[in-house]
Amino acid sequence: MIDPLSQTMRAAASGMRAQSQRLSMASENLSNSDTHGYKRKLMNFTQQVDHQSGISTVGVSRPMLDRSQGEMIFDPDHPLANEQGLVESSNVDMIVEMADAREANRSFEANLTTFRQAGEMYRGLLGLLRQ
Amino acid sequence: MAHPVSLLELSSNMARHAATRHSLISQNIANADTPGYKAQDVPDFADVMKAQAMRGPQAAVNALEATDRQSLGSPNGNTVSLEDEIMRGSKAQHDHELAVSIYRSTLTMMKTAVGKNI
Repeated sequence: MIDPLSQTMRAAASGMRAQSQRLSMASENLSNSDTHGYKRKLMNFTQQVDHQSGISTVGVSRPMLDRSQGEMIFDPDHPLANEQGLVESSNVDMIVEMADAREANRSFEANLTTFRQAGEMYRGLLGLLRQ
Repeated sequence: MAHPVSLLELSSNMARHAATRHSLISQNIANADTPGYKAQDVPDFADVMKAQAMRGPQAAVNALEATDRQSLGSPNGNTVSLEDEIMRGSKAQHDHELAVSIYRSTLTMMKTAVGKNI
């Protein structure tokens, strides 16, 4: 069993990695919000138990596509237009993506806080040697 | 009055308890958005000490086993409250700091007792 402080750091690091992947997915969706026919990507967090140390870290699942239909826009000149001259726009809702990005940011900061706290606790322990 | 040597043991146990609790808090925060995750915690240090006094050292080891904390969950089955965890995290850090300070002052006391100039 490894000591609790490095367990803390390992769990916090896995959380930060997962949250930054979520943020990058939200920004991918946001940047493609005007791409015709784009389907927004979704991901899920999964709990992973590290068998060596017994701690539960977090990982991300494979990205999935949101198959819902986007808004149909009338644009007969577009190369992707169907027989009626309608083009499917992306199904990205900018408000949802912004909220997701904000929540990822908040959770990332919470993980960073615990990481820093573990570092300070280490420093306190090492300070015992330095008197 | 506690013997200083047992005071060293007591404060190092307290530091270990705070670090264990902090590690569980960080796992809770890492899994704050995982569907179905149950927040985990260990009993308070005072309860661990009581269990040890009543049922011997093995009880204290068992008391450090993580259990699911009962709290109101969100619709996806997750029971982590980020604000709560952050508050408890800084409390655990302060407990750890307190334990390290007690350890250090005990060492200083022992040094004073053997007459070495500090």
